[in-house]
Amino acid sequence: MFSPYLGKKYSEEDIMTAARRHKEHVSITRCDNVYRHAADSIAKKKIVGWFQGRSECGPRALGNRSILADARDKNMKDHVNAKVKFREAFRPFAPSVLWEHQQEYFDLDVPSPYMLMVSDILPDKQQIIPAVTHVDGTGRLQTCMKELNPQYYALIEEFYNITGVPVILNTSFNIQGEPIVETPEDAILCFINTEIDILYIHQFCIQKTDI
Amino acid sequence: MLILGVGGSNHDYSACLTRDNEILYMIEDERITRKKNARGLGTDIAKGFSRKYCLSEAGIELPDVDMIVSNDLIHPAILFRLDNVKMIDHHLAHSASTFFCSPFEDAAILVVDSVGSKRVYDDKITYNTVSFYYGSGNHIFEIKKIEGRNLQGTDYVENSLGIFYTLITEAIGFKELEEGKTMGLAPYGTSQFYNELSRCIYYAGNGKIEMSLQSIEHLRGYKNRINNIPAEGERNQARKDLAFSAQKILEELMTELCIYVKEQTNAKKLCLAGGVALNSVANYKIYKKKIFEQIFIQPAAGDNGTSIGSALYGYYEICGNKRCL
Repeated sequence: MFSPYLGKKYSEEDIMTAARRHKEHVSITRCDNVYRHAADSIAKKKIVGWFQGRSECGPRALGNRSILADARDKNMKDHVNAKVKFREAFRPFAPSVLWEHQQEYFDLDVPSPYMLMVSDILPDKQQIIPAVTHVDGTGRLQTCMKELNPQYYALIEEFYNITGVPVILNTSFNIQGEPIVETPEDAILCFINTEIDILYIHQFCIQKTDI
Repeated sequence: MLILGVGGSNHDYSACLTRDNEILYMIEDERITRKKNARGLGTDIAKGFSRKYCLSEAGIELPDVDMIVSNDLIHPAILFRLDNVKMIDHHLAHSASTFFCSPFEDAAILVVDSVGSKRVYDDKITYNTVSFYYGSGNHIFEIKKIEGRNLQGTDYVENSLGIFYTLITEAIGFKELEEGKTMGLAPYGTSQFYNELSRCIYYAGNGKIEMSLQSIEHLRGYKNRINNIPAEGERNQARKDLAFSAQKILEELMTELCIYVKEQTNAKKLCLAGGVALNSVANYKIYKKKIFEQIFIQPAAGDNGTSIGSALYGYYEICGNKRCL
């Protein structure tokens, strides 16, 4: 299967250097289980910056340079728009779903691994994931498959274990009008300049020191 | 064998480095320069940010590359100081970016965007707007190309579904390359403008989309028409209705193009690329109609993805290497 994750790899040293450069604003710690930690943050309604591995090609963030949030919270769309993305209120946010559970939520029987199909969301599921349900009951879904992105899969799986919902809100890691972040430093700068609550880069957890 | 693909048009530059059939790296200039769609770079375009990124990461230098491939719509400045670049047709680069990345042994290929390569005839110049191909093994066969003339003094081209959607996007008040916003706005609207827009752009049979220069002029007028609506509520509703109506037309026309390429190829699978393939609402509707059993869409369906297509076209079609799935 074609992998869109074609950017370069960043080393632990790259991440540490970037964090050190902004040490008056952020602290960095190593997580034992970054997937569990991040899933827990999302379930607690935090807005999460998620940076893993190689950047994805094309205009959609596919789980390596993403801002993630709880799709179950009906206020989350306005919240992410106002606090982080600074974009028009009418624009919907996209759901990422575990492939094995896709048809429990969406009327689509094939994977949409690159977020290139807007599917009907099953009527009885729309109120479970209101933050990613557009006004016409659809969502531009990304199918998360273990073989294509094991890290992102592990995160959503943890979220599913905590909440029973295999869907999270996924929007690109950038501010309106800017390109998606590429380097660990781009991610840290975007984190500092927005109200993203917590940032994960590889196995590291990065937090703001001035709050 | 190392191949460098250089992608983009007058925006969305990118580079892709392949070793044999494997994509080593692909990156868009915007990610490095931090300027969206790599616009506003000025003379910095010539610095080749994306190819330096790919080469440096692979630990090689330009002379180590066996072949450089790009597309003929690209801004010449991005190719500054590159010698012996093989230039291929813009839509062909899109078609290779989707077919050669797909898991399909053979497939119909449909490329739909705003403007493709220029063609010069004795008495006129046209631009390619839609291309139909059939891919099989390591070959891509051209079936048909739709062309249109340029509206003098503008970037608009006849018979282009991408240009139609851009014109509507601009009439609503968004910018070029913000077509995704129009798609997101559409469900708030009604088919108020459907009938009048259908007279500006329609399917003329045999794979041809018809939108005349006169229609382009007419579509350009919507911007003022909407801005002149005095009441804000009505004005905003008109924007939503325009988005809804244009989206409905785009879906219908894409469906016609898919049916046409199905008839021409009898393929069971479809590969899509070109900016219009980013219209994920239309993609779902096409899948649901079951014209094809399976659909592959290149995630970098816009001009950024042409670097991938160029590199893989070099490996498979120019060098004739076998394609193993």
